Amino acid sequence: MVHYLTPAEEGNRTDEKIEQEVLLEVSGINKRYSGVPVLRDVSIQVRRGEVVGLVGENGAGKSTLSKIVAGYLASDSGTIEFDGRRRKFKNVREAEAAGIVMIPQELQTAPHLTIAENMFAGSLAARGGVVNRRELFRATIEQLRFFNITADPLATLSTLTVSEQRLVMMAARLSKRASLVILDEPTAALTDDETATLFAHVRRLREQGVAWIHVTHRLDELEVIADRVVAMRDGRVAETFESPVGKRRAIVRAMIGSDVAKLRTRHTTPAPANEREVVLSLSNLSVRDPDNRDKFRVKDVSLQLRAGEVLGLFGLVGAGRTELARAIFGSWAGEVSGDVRLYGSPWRARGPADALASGVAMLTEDRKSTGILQGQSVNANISSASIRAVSPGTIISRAAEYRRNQGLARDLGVRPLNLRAAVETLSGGNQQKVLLARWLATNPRILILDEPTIGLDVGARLEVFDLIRKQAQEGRAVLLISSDLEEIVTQADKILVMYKGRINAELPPNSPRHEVMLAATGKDTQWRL
Amino acid sequence: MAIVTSDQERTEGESVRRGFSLRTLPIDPQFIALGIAFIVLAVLFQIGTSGVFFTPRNLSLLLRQGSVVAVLAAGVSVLMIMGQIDLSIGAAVYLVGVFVAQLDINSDLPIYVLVIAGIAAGCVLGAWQGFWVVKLAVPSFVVTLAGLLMFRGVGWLWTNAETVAPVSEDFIGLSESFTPTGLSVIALTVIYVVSLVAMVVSAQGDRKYGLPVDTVKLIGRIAGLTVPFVFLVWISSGFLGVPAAVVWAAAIGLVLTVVMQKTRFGRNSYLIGSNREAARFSGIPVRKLTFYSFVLMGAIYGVGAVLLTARLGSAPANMGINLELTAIAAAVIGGTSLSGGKGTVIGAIAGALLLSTIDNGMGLMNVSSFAQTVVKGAVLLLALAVDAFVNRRSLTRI
Ligand SMILES: Nc1ncnc2c1ncn2[C@@H]1O[C@H](COP(=O)(O)OP(=O)(O)OP(=O)(O)O)[C@@H](O)[C@H]1O
Ligand SMILES: [Mg+2]
Repeated sequence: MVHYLTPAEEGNRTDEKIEQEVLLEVSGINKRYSGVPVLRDVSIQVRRGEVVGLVGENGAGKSTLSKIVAGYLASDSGTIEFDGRRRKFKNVREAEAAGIVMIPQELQTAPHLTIAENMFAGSLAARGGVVNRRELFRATIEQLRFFNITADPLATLSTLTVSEQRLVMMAARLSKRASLVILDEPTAALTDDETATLFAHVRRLREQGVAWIHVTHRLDELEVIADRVVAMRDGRVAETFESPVGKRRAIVRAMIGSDVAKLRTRHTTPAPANEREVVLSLSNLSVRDPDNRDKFRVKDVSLQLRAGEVLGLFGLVGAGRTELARAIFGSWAGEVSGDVRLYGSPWRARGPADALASGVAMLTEDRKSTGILQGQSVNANISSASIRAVSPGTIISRAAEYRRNQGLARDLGVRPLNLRAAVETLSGGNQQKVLLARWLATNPRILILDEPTIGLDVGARLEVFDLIRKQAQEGRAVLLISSDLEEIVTQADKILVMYKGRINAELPPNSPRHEVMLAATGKDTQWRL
Repeated sequence: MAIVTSDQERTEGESVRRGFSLRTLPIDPQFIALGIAFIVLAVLFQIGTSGVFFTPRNLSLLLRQGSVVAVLAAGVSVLMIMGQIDLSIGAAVYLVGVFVAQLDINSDLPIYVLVIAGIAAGCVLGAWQGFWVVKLAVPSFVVTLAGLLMFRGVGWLWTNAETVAPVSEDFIGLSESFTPTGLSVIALTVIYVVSLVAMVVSAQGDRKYGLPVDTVKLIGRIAGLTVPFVFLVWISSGFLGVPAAVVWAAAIGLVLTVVMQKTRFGRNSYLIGSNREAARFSGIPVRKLTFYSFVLMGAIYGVGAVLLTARLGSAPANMGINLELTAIAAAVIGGTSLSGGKGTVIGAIAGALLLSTIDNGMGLMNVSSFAQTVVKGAVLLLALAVDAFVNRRSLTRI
């Protein structure tokens, strides 16, 4: 339910704001890559104790702007005034020293170092050059508590799931002293609970005068947390909204430059009949922790995946969804036990190559470490899992490859549509589209999608929903893993909710959200169909 | 916290890096830098040697001197693109060299059998190292460091560290003979015309299939073909013909370039080098291909050993010492990244020729070989600095 403010109310809020002191004044920023303008004459203002939502389509320039403010990038022209002083940060350290902390979209981690070392890299508690282990340990435990993560600070980071890693790194950065915090899509893979925890923290610090720039594609969050919204389009500030409440449509219009007709919430077609062929069935599948055999990441999970169906798998961070998917795909390092059947016959993927050969494809959730092939072209990134399909011989048939990839990239709306561009020059959302294209190109029978819409803008998200539906209609079986309640509830034909490695509930499509959420927090199991 | 990007694109053969204000250039700035380096050195040496440097006779010698390193640099660039390294090259070349020299001296086997035997022996060494890297997951740095010690040690045990000599005239001819002048010019012209036609036809084909064709790049490539052609014709018609060693190096360069740019193996090598995990998740047989590339490197040991033994006329105990470092340096100068995923075979060969030019020119100028080593080290540093400058990663500011 949307509450529209009366103009008077709005006016009041605005007046209040103007009195507040300006903390950050960015004026006339320009930035080009290879001569292509990415930011054009961008000016924004952030006041003390204010949360500014920064929105825009994929590639609009949000991350670039954030990086410039936080000292990761230099602008070509324009000025930044921070805390009443004209600043030109040479690097991240200078910006941090001045009080600007950023949590980038793609967090850089060292998976083989310990959790503690990762969290405090660069600010390791040291005495005379020697790292103070005890202090480090204490600080880590304290920060981990922030998102209710129980983990051994001395375990290596790679023992955590990707979303846990993200939370851990975020907690660490949030502990720094700052007067401006920039969050670039922090909530992309968080469940509502984790988002709520984050927002509580944001509010607490806002009271103390800390200002926030919050980059997001989840527009519903804006009403909850943002005091003001800046909408970007094609590298420009399209419009600024004082108080976002009730302005969702207008914000979207400012972002995409056209009307919002296609922004209905879509509901799935009714669940397909149960006589559809069972493609994949798991019985009592258990997945053990690779480092600790006694610990189960997934315990006794049984499920059936049918052709033409989208099976939703919901759960909180650490529920075991990714582990389950990886076990199916053959890419789990630990022990997997139980019975897996593919079209009725016993089957177990010995590795991703094996899984792909059997028609099982999986989009992984950690774009950076298991997805993107840095330094390579968009073309090579799309083809990486399916080069045989276009080139059965030894020599690559470039024309066939190019035509297929161009078609996929166009369908998915990859921008810029230049297959020769190096993949890391694309914005986060566009990289995600490239990865989706990679897996669609394999023409799989079973498509496992782990957080497919991470980082996608509103329009692209709906397009991906359509695409998922189309995959199902063409007879593929889709296992949709998501932390996004809305996505699961509206897109899945059947919803399985995992809690602590087990399936806690099986719910019909369009189930009430609170029921799904309750099951995900382990409250009740009586809804089992 | 670094956002690591390499402003680089690589599709269908070319490696084009766009950097800083040079970003808009259609040709790899590093190749331009290499070209400039060649020209500057040529002018310096020409002056310094009062005209001896730039003669067909000397350039022919330069090419023969550079061929062994060119072959090995081409091979190691493949491994490096995959994210591996090989420190055993010099020792492996020595061991295989001892093997073929012994065979040549102690048997009447025809020359081509000796060559095949050398390549096979090299493949065995490559497979041995590949086994440790792939099956036992020992880093290639360690495995090939062990190879560096073991292979030379085995060679010394076998020969008591005595020079194996002399190899037959026929064997020496593998590297030091020349194709007759007239035939050379005709053959070169045929090869040139065929490659030119192939390039244009392939571009036309691309256009027909809707692949965008970059005309400037095509012109760059034609120039890249024409300049060496003109030089080779000049050198070979001015001095005896094309040296056999150059034929070997060109053949290896051509084969490896086709493999790396046109085949699935080559494509997958780049992908493995740029992100091993992601490549594995894409279903690329990472371990198998890594093993193959070590065997391929082994075959290159064989070719390198035959060429070097033929050139030296023997297999002395210090044969190939530091060759791995020269080969790796050549690959790096030619744009191959030590962290994988980036580089070209042609670049590595160009790097080898640059090092050979320095050796040759400074040798003519009677600069001590100690000073030559210093200069080569400086060139390596300079190459990396140029690379860092053109790719100045405005994103990576730590
Ligand atoms: N290193 C680079 N080289 C060339 N172009 C780049 C580079 N980095 C970013 N771009 C381009 O800049 C534009 C803006 O990218 P940016 O990452 O700021 O988008 P964004 O608004 O954060 O998008 P998203 O919502 O997908 O994260 C994109 O068109 C992108 O392709
Ligand atoms: Mg972004």
